[in-house]
Amino acid sequence: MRSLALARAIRGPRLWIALAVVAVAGAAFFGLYVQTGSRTSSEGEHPTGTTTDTFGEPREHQERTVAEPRRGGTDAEILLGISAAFRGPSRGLGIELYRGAMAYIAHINANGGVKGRQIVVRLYDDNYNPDPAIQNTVRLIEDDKVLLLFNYVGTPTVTRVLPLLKMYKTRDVLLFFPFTGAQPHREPPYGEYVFNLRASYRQETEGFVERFARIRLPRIAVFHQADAYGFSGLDGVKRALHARGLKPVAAATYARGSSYKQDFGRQVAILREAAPDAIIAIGAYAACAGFVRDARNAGWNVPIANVSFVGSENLLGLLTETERASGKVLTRNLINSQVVPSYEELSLPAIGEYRSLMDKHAPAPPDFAEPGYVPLRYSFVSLEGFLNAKVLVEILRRMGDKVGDKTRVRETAEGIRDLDLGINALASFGPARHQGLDAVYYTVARDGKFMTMTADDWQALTRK
Amino acid sequence: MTSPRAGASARTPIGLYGKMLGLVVAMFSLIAITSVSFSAWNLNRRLLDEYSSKGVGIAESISSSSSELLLNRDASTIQAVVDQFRAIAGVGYVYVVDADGDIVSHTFVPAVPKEILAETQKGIERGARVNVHDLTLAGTGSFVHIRSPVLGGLAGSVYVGMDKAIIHGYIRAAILQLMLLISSTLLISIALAYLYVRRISRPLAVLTAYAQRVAAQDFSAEVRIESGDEIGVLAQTMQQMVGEIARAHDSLEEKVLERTRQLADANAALEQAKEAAEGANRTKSNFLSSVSHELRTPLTSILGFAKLIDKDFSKLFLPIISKDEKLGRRAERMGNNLNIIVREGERLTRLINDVLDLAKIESGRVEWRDSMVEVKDLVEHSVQAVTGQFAGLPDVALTVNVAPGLPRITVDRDRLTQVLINLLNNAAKFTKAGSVEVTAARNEKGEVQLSVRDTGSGIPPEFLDKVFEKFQQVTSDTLSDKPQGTGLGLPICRQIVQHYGGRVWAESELGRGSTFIFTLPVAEAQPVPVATSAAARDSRTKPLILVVDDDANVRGLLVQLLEDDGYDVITAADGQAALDLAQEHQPDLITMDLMMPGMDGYTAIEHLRNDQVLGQTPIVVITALGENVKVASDATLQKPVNDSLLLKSIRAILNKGAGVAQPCLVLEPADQGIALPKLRLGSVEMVSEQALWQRLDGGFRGTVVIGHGTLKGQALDRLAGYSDIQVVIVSHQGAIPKSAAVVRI
Repeated sequence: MRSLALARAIRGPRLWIALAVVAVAGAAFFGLYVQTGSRTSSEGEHPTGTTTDTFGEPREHQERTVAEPRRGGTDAEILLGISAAFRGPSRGLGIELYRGAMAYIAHINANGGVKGRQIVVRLYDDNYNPDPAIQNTVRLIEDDKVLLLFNYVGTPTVTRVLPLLKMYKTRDVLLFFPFTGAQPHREPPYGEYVFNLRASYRQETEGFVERFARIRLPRIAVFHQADAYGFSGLDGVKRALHARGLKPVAAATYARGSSYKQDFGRQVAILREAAPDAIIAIGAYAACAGFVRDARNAGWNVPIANVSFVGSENLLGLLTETERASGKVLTRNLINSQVVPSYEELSLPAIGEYRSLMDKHAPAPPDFAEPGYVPLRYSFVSLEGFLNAKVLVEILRRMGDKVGDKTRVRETAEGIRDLDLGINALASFGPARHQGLDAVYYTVARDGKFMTMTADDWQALTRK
Repeated sequence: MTSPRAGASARTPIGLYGKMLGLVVAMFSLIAITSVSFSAWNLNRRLLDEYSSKGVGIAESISSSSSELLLNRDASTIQAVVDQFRAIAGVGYVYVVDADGDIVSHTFVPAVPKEILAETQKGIERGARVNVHDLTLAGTGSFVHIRSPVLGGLAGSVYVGMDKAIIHGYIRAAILQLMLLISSTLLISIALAYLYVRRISRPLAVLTAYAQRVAAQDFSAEVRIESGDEIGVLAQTMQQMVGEIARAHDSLEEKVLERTRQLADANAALEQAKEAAEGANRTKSNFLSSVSHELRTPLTSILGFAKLIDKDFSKLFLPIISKDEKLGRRAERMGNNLNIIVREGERLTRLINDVLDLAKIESGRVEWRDSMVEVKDLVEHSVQAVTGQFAGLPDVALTVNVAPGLPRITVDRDRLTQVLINLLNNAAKFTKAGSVEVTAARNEKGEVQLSVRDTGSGIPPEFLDKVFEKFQQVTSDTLSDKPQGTGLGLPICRQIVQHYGGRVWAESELGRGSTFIFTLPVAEAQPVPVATSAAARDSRTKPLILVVDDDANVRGLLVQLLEDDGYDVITAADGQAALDLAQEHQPDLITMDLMMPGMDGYTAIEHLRNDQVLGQTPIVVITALGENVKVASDATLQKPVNDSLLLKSIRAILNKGAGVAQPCLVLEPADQGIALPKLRLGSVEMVSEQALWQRLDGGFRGTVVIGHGTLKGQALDRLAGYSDIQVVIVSHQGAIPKSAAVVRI
């Protein structure tokens, strides 16, 4: 009787439905368990997967060419590779450096190029982050087979690319004129793969320290980016102070990629506690502008000195915009070192050439750049880009027929001696000298512009 | 009984589901708590280990790649390396201290925490080993703090802080996922349990309702559960069962009705049978009564006259006749024959009495007058009753041996006395010389055991049982011996003893004697309230008469006579027993013999008259002595007893005020030729004729006794004119002997 009932119960359709539900639930449970388990383990094993959190979502490696033929063969074109920030808080640097360079290259290409070859630039955005910069570099070398790398932007990016260049030693890939004053690419073991045009941060900071000391402002504090760039600048300040038996009285950092909107009150408070005479800021323009704003809003008018990398016009632009909105004066006691002369120095022949080519070609930002950026008519950064391009074209010209031969690049570049760029300074390279210029220019914010500093300007900083 | 069932029916679905739900929730809670706790613990441990080793790896790789850089003091390259590792998940901070103890590179924002600055300023750690410890930074969190020396600590150290917050975040996330998983599984399980329980409980509820209807004897209810499982089978089986029960119920009702009818019929039949039996019994009783009456009446006359003839013959004729030798012999033979007639008549009377007695006992018509009786009294009483008989046996010693401290027994004193006397009579009959011993003691069962042992001829073993059967008598060796007794004594004894739950048996050794033994259960201690005279009398439905006579035959005769006339009768064999019984039973009337062994009638009457309670009890003396006895009795009758006279006298005495109770005037005879019976001595007046008329004219009420012929003609007419008197005319003419005292009314 009982077995009969059981048999009947087993045959009943409801029981099968119930069993099916249980089976599905079990499978779901198991699946969920496996998924959870694997996720946990993957997070444990590959924590780098979360780097996106730190650096932001890496952009699709944007590829654009400026000149008409894409890859018309080595006979038709000279291919240059650029990885720089065209998006994000530091996009102004990448875009302006590019525009300045393109003003000159467009001029050369318009006049028949170099030995009949058009100069073509391959562009990738690295958003001022090292990993995309490395990946971009690999692509430029491996896939695009560029002649050389040009106009990279930033210390953290460039310092991470350096080992790559050493690795690609046999391919003779050289980096020309990166937009950074840091030491690694000026020193062994990587110095030999990089040609710099600009003066170093050490030179810039040494200049600040020396000048502050001269006007008796010995208590120096540093506001810097918490990365290789920031520490490169900090290191420069420390060395300069150390030579005078001093130390920075305080240091405050900020995370790379910080925007102007962020609050820098904590950094202001940390530094103000040490009561410094002056602050040297080693940062990008958005963060430095934010720091200046918060310091001034806090009623602290301490002199704040920025280095060339900051992008003076971008910095000033943000601050003057806020000044207009709030009516408060934020740009007092704001100075900036430069590695190129002011574009207001019209007496210099290169300035005239720069201005006319910029006006004539008015290079647009790359079309993949973050929209909403308003290009500057002239800027220290685009002037630097212009000068970089001018030196590079001279090197390419000197290569003559062998312009496509990578092995000839170093030799040719190291052969440049006392090249007059029209800025009242001669650029020289050699096997032991991979930095073309040493001049540092000091400017002060006045009437919405950075003007070359006079002795009075320096003295004015001492007035509390 | 109803409430739990109703509660159960109301609760069943929720109850089952609730229990299942509770079980499921409890199980899942247990699983959740244990698995989550274990996971959290395990994950924390594993991640800490993992992060520690990861941190060590990072610290070591930084330190190994930055040794040259540190020596070169190339801060930005070190920072580039540091930044690279800073990006690794879980790394909270990295900083590098150079040989001078300066932090050349770090990842702190906005500044190096004070704790770390303080630690660094305390002094440079020179140790060459990697060390790991926990570190909590105010406002930042807690970290696994790892130090890796660069070049054995000479060039500086690399510090890596693995952020525990990330570990805790992972654990939280993992626990959350686990909890979600378990919760969803729990919900599914609850839903499944609900569905299943509903599937089980709904049919169960239907079944329960069905069962309740059936319990309320609603067999028309139906249950429809078509599930194929056990419940379905149960429902089907139940319905079948209910069908069976309904059928059984119906047939049961029919059967009950039928049986009730049969019972009623049987009852009616039984009732009829009972009535018939009772009728038969009554008929038998009546028959026995009438037969005994019819037998005894002539027998009494035969016996009485035989005795009179014998008396007269031996008094008057024998002295005359004995002078003639021939006539003398004839006369002697006649005397012997008369004696035989008397003896056989008496035997016949005893036989009739015994037969009646036995019949009455067997038919349960005997009224047992049970009372608490001392065994010692019982034995002494009986022994006294037979002293006369043993007086004729000089060679036989009668001894009594009663154990001290025997309990009282609840028995009918007369009946037990009858048993003992019977046994003693037997012993006396069969013992020519030696001893007869009466013993009373308790046996091993606690019963009272009485035995009568003699040293007589004994009984053959084959007769030991038969002696208790009716009409079985042991024939003695000598054929010349006539059987004595009625052969019913021992059966009566057995009946009496058995009535009280006792046993009676005989033990014997032929030629050396017999022992008759009977046992009586001991009455449990129930003190019988001593009835007061009024209470004892009032509780009776029939008048109780105490018959006192040393002759058992006379007692038997009187008992028979009085019982037949509707009295209860108790008997005593001597004056002392009479006093005891009278004290105990408060009889309504006493018949008293005068000449008795032990205490004689005179003494007994004297005692009775002096007794406060018994002083007024009427006493009728029945004596064989001559007419002129002087005794304080209410009436005196001569033996042999004229039963109608006796009954009338007793009736008259008991019916107070109706006859003898009234005063009595006796006209003194002129010639003193007759002796009137002494009727109620204090209220009888002997008067002269003149005084008689004066009293009658004065309104006397009562009885007037005159001798035959003492009043003649006018005087008798005058006497008849008084309405409220009874007139007794006593005649003493003709053959009426003086001693007969026959009163004709």
